[in-house]
Amino acid sequence: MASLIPNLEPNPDTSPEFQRKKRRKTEKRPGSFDRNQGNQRIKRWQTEREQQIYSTKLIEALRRSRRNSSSAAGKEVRGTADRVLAISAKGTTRWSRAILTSGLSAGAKMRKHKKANINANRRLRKPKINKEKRKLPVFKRKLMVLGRLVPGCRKLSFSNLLEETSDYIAALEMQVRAMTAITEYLAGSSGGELQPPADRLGSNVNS
Amino acid sequence: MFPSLHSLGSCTYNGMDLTVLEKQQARLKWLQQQQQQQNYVVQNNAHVELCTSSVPQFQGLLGSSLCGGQLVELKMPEVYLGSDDFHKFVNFSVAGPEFGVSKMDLVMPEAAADYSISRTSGCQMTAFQTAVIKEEGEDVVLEKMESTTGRESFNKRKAKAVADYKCKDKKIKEVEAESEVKTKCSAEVSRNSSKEKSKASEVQKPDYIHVRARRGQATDSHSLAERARREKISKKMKCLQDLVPGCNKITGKAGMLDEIINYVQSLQRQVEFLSTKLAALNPSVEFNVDNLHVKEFPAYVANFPAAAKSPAMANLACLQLNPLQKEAVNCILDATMHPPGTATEGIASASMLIPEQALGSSCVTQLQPFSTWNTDPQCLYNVYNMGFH
Repeated sequence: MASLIPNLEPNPDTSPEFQRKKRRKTEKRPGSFDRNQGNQRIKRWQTEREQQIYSTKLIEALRRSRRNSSSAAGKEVRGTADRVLAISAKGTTRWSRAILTSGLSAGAKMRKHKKANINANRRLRKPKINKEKRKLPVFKRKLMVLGRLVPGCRKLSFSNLLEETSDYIAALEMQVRAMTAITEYLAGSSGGELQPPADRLGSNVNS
Repeated sequence: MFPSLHSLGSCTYNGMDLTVLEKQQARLKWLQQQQQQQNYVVQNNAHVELCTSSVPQFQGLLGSSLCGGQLVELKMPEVYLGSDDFHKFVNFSVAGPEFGVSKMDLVMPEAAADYSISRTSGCQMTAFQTAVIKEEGEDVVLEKMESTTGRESFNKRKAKAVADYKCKDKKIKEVEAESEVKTKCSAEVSRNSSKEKSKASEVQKPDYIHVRARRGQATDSHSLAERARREKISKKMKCLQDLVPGCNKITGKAGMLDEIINYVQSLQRQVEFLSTKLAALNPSVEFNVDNLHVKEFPAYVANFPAAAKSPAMANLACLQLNPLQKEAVNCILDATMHPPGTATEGIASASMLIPEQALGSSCVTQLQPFSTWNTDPQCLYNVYNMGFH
């Protein structure tokens, strides 16, 4: 969705009655159907089937990560959950791709370096005198905030950002639903099964 | 029954010396007929909404300076025709049977009357222009009948009829500039239809977006592009409004953005909280899921009197390691998400994977009367226990 520059070109060959009409090429062919596709994509996150698929994958991923590293930090679990969510998105959205590529060490290190550099320059430069100007583009500030919240959408146009945000919100809602269900089940099962599993564990060890 | 428009048209054509009042009456009539058509055509659902929406539109239009500031408040109660004139111009005859019965009781709101009148005066109509309009109206009707533009565009046109009033003035002014009437009418009609296309959707001409300048709005390319962009953005904002709860009252992009930001932050916080909760439960994740793991089944079996069957069962059970494991996981998920009925089916189907010759059909039948199912995971274990008896 990079090239969304409208192309305004006058058509000299049009008949005079179409003079007042301005023509503009659409960004791309599927762009004309974008509304339907976008809505379908969003509705997909709200189906139960999608939630089931996500839950299955999440449980599998959690078990695998548990085997690999015994420490069950909340951060790891969150990262796993987000990655599985991004996989469920099947790479159609920008935020999903950003989540999947953010795990790469090169990307993470680059960002840290960038942050360090910026801060260093800031201290060396003169402090900004007029602080009012910082607050002027209120709208732009909010856009930036939203861009930072949605992964991988920092420098995005307003309309694309809105689209990504709507998809991201739908996906997050599904994630919350699925994780709530899983935690409820596990909490319930672990609370209720405290006695018998101990026996079984013992018998398992023996046999 | 419908002598209407032809006579009217002929009147206007021949009698160029119509008084202003008669012209206004004619205009009003045409307007009423338009609205009547709107009431009649019921093929599309859009019309149902249209009828209800047209009236408020008229009232809204009154407030706006449609004629570019030339709004002349003419109180013409006498223009509200006496029934004698009214009956003449009841319906479009050209329309034919589908325009059905005349609705005599249709009373145009006075606002609409004022609107039409003021439009008429504000745009400094000459008789010539009136004739043009009339013919245009005829042409519109004829077009409808011939359905050159097809049903859909006709309906769309009706849907845009009120909005079209805005641009018709512009068209009429253009008509002044150009001499030929007929071609202009057809051109206007075709432009009208293509405008509908552009307004309705860009599906018909996917390579170009025809953006139409509305009355009182700039027509240069930049503002048109701006307007199209703004409409796109507003569409997306509406979509977001549906997603984010509590955004219905908020108008304005800035407020909406605030709400969206808050909501995304709250969702992310929830995910964070849930993940820490999951991490705390994580030992039992593996544990519980592994309990349903088939490797555990021999251990279960060892506890039960039916241990004699266990070696065979264990072998068979181990063979079915993977599918049963997946089934088990699915069953958990079914238990948490599905209503009880389907959950029992899921569990029953999973249990059926266990070789039936070992268990016997009695176990399976025991699962069916499990009507008091609740999603309490304790029951899951009971079910599996039952399966191994």
